Amino acid sequence: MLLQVNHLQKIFQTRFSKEKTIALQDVSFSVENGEYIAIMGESGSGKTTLLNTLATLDKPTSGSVILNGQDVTKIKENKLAEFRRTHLGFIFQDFNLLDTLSVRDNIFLPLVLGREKVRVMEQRLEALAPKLNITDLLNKQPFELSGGQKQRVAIARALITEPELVLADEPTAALDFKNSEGLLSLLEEVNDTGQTILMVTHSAIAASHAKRVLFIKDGRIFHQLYRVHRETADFMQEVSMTMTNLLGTEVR
Amino acid sequence: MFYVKLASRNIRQSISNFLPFGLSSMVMFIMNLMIATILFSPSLKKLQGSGSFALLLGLGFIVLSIFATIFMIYSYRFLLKRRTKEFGLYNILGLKKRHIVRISILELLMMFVATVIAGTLLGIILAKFFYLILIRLLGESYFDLAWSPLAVGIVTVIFACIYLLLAIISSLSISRQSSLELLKNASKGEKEPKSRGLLALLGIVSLGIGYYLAVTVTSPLDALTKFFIAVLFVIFGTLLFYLSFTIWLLKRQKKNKAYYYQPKHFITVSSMLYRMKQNAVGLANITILVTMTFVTLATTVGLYSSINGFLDDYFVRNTIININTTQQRATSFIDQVAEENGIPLKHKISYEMSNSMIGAMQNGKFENKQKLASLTAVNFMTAKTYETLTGNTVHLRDHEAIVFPAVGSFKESSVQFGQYTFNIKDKINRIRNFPSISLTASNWLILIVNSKAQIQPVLEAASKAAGSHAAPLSMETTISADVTREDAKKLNHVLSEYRVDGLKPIQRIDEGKEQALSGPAPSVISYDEMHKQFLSFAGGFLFIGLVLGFTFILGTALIIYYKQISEGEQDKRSFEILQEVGLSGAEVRQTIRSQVLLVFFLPIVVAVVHFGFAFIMIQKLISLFGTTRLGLLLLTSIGTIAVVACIYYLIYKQTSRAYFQIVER
Ligand SMILES: Nc1ncnc2c1ncn2[C@@H]1O[C@H](COP(=O)(O)OP(=O)(O)OP(=O)(O)O)[C@@H](O)[C@H]1O
Ligand SMILES: [Mg+2]
Repeated sequence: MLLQVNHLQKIFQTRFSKEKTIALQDVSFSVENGEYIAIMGESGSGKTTLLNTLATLDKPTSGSVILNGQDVTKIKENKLAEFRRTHLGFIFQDFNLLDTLSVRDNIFLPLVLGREKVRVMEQRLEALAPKLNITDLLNKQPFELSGGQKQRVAIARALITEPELVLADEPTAALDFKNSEGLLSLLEEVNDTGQTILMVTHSAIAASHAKRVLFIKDGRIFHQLYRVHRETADFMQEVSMTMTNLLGTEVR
Repeated sequence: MFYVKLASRNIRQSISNFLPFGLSSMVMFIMNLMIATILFSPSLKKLQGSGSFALLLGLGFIVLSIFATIFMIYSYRFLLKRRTKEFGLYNILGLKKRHIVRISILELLMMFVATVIAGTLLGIILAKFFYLILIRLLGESYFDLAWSPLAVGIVTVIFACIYLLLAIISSLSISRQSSLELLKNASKGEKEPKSRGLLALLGIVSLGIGYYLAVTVTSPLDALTKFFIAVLFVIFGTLLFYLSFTIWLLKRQKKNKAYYYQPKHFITVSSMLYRMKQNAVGLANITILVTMTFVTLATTVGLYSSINGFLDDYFVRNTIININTTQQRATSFIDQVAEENGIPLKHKISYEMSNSMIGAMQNGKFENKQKLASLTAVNFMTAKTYETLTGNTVHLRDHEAIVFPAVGSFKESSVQFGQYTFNIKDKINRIRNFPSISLTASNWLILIVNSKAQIQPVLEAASKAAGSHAAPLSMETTISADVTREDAKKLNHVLSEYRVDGLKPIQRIDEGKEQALSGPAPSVISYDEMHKQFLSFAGGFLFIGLVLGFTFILGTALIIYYKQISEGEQDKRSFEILQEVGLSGAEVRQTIRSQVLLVFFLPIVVAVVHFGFAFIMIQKLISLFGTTRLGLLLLTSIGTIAVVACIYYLIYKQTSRAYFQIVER
């Protein structure tokens, strides 16, 4: 087992008001090596909060997150950045590429921060770039790229550290339909090579590319679906239905 | 009315945007008003040497007005840039551009009124305070400064013009942009700058020319004329240097993979490179301002602190009398006058020299030309006079001379006056009981020759060349003695009634008679008198220097502040991303610090280098008033630099705090 999430709870309390927001309550699930999981829920259901907790960007109020036998919620503040760099890969909704760096250097960034040798960085990129179809983009600046290209670069940056777990927060939200499709199949391919991916989304289309979908509402996980060997389109129907029926909301 | 409300609400709401602009507007107004108040105050006329001081103040006022204009435009453009988004929103929400322009002009009008009212009040109070400093610097005790409506009026008009200019800039920039452009964020992607070899070369050449001009000045007057040309070259060169050379350097660092791909260098080099174009202008501005502060303060402080040295060099005794005749006639005449008036002349020293021949000295050849760069005054002295002055015996043949370059230098082995040539037997660097500086701006050369027989033909030839209307050159005598202040005054008064012209009989002016007077009156100058004059001049200079220096530092502070704020906003997102990708908080701080430090040190280092070259000129400029003591000047310069650098550092610390606050939240 790669990841084990136990009874996670997150309560937000703003400094000025006494009002509490329970963003996560008693969330438990586990992830096997090589899985591709989508977490689905409507806006405000706690998806980003969950992902941030897994990503060690946020500390839970209670509960634990065990990655490869290590409780990430117990890692000391000054070791967190290094932990993220070595064990996790991130793909963000708005790409989060640095304008100041070229595409190549953006991909190198986590390795540079980890003081990796230049030779190793170049070897890894050489292997990775053709898979993501970004070989021609390497010498450009981020602002010269389209949204889809940017997200592919972001994936390259997430993968180059060879992380145990890739976390993605609505990676297709800023893309048009065609680019979304391309990106989702790309993530599937990446997953086929054995990479574990955990993706948060509110789009049924995006979720249907995953092998398993967890549904979250009001901070609780209350349902999950397995794709097994179905086509994406079939699976999407079921995901969509589940959302409509169980959550009482209309989704695309 | 609606627009007035909107405009005043804007100012109140985005006070953090308006504050730096309002502050710079106010400070510039106050500085200008202060100088103007002192300049137009009737009490100025009661000061010693008020004429030259008023001229200085006037010059300072002009420099300050120009600086204020440039600076206000800079501030305002910054303000406008930060508000484009807001204006864009108005535009989308249905305000016509015409109306937006009206709002921005109304805002300007309010700022203007606020500046004038607050600036006048503060300015008048501060003017009194600064006047007190001025009085102390001038060594006077007189204090009375009335506020002058004329000064307020003039400064208000100047600022009205500046604000009018700002209004034009504002309406142009708003109407030029489309509403979408207005709405879009100011920062769009920028291609990594190319390192342009040609620009780099031009920058280096330009700096080289500026530096070369500074290094090769030959005389004080030369320095004065070349100074401004050198300044222009250096300003231009600095800008090009930052634009090209630093980009080239950073690109080279980037190419070196082993260096570049280290966490610290990686982020610093790439973000500096990314920002270099906009950075270059900012850095050049800061560098030039810091250099200006250095130069202004070092020159004026150096001049002020050198006064005593100058006078000690010039006054062998506390009073110096100059008489246009031979030593024999002069001493007996003065002795007689002194005795008649009961004035004791203590520790008397007297010597005679030829009248000054003024012309161009080039490659050991003296020509009757008024060429500013090599203008030299030459005086001949006989070997006998030299021996009595110093006690050293010298043996000179007829065509030999000993040279003493009191001001300037002399390297040739012979000196030629028309058909007469003297071989230089020896070069000395001082003469006992003889001044080592002159009170004129030109170079000064003393030639010691065997006897008057060698001097006479040269003087005659020179007189002939000068034409018949000029007085023929002959010998003059200088008598130095220690005399009490009252006696010196009395002596001056008595001697002013005489006229001495070479070997002609000495005449005394008689009120009742028609007289054909010829020749000048003997001149008496005393240490005290001279000291007062110098002090009023140098003190006025120092005052202007302090005011300008203070304003420049303030300008620097504001520019750095703007730079930090705008960069903080740009970097905020970058540092968030970096932290998500795996840069720890401590590493972020470290990176920011090293980045900030580099930007802090670069202008100071470049400014110090600029100043190093300017120093040579400053030294020459100050020697306009006498030989500078290199050690003293160096000391005051280093002191000034240290003080300015400390202030600069404080400014940087304060403004980086603003940067940290933006980036970390
Ligand atoms: N920093 C915070 N302080 C207080 N409350 C917060 C904070 N962050 C999130 N919340 C609250 O926690 C709940 C879950 O938020 P979260 O951002 O996880 O939702 P989400 O599922 O990602 O929504 P979306 O699909 O819109 O991104 C919301 O009610 C939100 O208001
Ligand atoms: Mg979210």
